[in-house]
This record gives sequence, C-alpha cells and structure tokens, in this order.
Amino acid sequence: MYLYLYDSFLVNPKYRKIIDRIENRIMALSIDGKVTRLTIIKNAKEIVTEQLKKGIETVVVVGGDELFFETASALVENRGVLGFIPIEPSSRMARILGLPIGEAACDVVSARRVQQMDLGKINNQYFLSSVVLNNNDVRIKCESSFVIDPLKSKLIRIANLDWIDFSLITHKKTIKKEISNPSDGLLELVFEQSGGFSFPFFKKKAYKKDSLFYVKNLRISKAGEEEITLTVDQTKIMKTPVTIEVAPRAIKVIVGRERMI
Amino acid sequence: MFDKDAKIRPEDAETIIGAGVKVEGTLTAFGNVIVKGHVSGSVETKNEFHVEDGALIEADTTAQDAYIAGEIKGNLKIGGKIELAKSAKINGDITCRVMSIEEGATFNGHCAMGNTASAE
Repeated sequence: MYLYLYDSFLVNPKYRKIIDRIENRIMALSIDGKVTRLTIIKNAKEIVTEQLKKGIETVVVVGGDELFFETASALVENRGVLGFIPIEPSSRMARILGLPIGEAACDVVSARRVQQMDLGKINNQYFLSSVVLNNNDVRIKCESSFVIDPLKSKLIRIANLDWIDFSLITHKKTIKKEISNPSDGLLELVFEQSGGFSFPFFKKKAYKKDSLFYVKNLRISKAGEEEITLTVDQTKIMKTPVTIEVAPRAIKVIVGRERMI
Repeated sequence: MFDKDAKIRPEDAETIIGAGVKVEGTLTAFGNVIVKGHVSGSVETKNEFHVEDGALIEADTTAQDAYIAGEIKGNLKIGGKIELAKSAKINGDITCRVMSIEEGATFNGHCAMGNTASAE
C-alpha cells in the first residue's frame, strides 16, 4: 500500500496541472494509494508514523527535497520504503537518485528499484543528506583518535548523500568524486577554503575544496567562546557541541536507473 | 578509521589532507592518504602515502608505497617502494623494499632495505 505525501507548496494553483498529470499516471500504473496533503499544522513525521501502523508499506513524497529529507528521518524508526516524485527541476536529490521531474517519476516508483542506504545521526536525530557549518572556530575529533583543526577552511560539510564535487590533481592521477557514497557505512567530511569572490557574481563567495576524510563518527565542539550553528539537511538548525555518526543501511529508497550513486 | 571488512574499495576512500587543515593524533586510513597540509602524530595505511611539496609531516608513518615531495620529521615504514622527489626533506629512518631518490632530495637518517621491510 502506498501513501503519497504532498508538499505544502503544492496548494499553489500553478501546480494543479502537474499534480493532475501525476495522479493520472499513478492510476494508469495501478500504484494509487492514500493521499495526504501537508499543511503547516500537519507534521510529516506524525503522519508517516501513524500511516505505517495502519499498514502503509511505501511512502512517496511528492514535492521538494526538504520534505524528502524530513520523511526519511521519520521512516527510519519504522519500516517502509521511501519514494520521491520531485516537482522542481532544481531538486538536488532528483539528480542524485536518477529521478525525472514530475509524472515521469511515477514510472520509477512503479519499477520499485530499491537501494538500502545509510543515514547520518546528529545528537540522536537522523539526517539523510548532510550537515553544514560555515565557521572554522571549531574542534573536530574523529573516531576518538585524531583531531582536525580547520585552520583556513571556512565551510565544513559532513555528507551522507550529497554533492561534494571534490577533485584533486596529483603527480600521478586526477581524483574526482562528485557524490558522497550513502551505502559505504561512512560519512564524507569535506573542508572548503574561501576562495574570494567568484566571477561574474562578485557578491557571491566562492569556495575551493581542500580536504576530504572518511569517518564513522565525529564530535564537533566550539574552539572559541561562542557556540557554532550547524544546518542539518538544509533546514534544521542545531548548535555545538554535536556528536555525528553513521547509521548503516538504515533506510530503503526507490532509485532510478540514471542514479549517480 | 575503518573495519577490516568494510565493503569499500581503497580508490573510493582516499583521505586528502589539504593545506587548509591540521591533523593531530593517530590517523588510520583504509585507502590512499594524500597530504598537502600538516599532520602530527602517526599515520597508517595499507595503501599509498603521498606527501606533496609544501606539506609537513611530524609523524611516524606506515604505508605500502610512498611518494614524498614535502617535509617529514619521523620514521617511515614502507612495505614496497618509496620515491623521494627533489623537494623532499626527510629527518628520520626509512624501512622499505625499493627506494628512488631524485637529485636535490634531503635525507638524514638510517635506511634499511630489502625483503625484511613490510608495512604491518
């Protein structure tokens, strides 16, 4: 049984046509199910937990990346498979997971190619994509065995399933890694240095990739007087100190043939 | 840093320590380790250890193969081949099977070569 979780922004009439096309395709593929439209007062986690108890086996998010991340963290404590019908072409997850935008993604849901993935855990809260902090006044202890001092690195990303776009040329070869691996039982820890201002957008700061580590767990604490803010899965805000670890193979996700992972 | 049975390929888990960070402690890596910055403590990998020009290693290192173009203060235990580039500066002992030294490299220490050397 399927539960379709509609993002709150889809109430805007401009999405009516695309929703109609998605619903028609769902009916044609015989993968129809219960539809719940999120509102400000309806929490995705509560809905998912309640519906899984009622026998829902697959939760399909129709909307944006943020709701997809929120639903993933709700699913991990229960059983179920997560699907995604992205609506906006700017969706980072759509590209990584190999999902077309709009009604064509219904065919991917129907094909049900399931991949088991890790999740990240920050102070006992799950995240699917990454944790980002834009401040190097921190102390990072990894695996209880070594400490990283960010020195000149301003942007720090702890990625489970995200773009990391790291490339390095050594005397022997070129190392290139676009996407973090969400199925290796490790988190990618990426440090970026501020590279001044990027052309032609002089007001936008550019960063150049500096360091890349693979870790199972780490602890981030403030190095100075003030606690540092971290952004989890592009939305949630947390403050140091935090303990971050990987939760191996914690969730099942429907992926497309054109996936980048 | 990793379990022995971790299902990752070494080429997929290359630790890169850039000039923007400093690492202190015991770094045990599954894949290759490439250093452009500063490391102190100890480093261990069953794969390649690569130190770029400008990097500073104040650590004892165990690796399978090594390419050194930076500065090392510490002992190197290399199971296979070590290459010292012209910019390399080493103050410490080297254990290896095969060694190549480019003209201009600096090496102050003892060297043991042959079949007795191995990266444990």
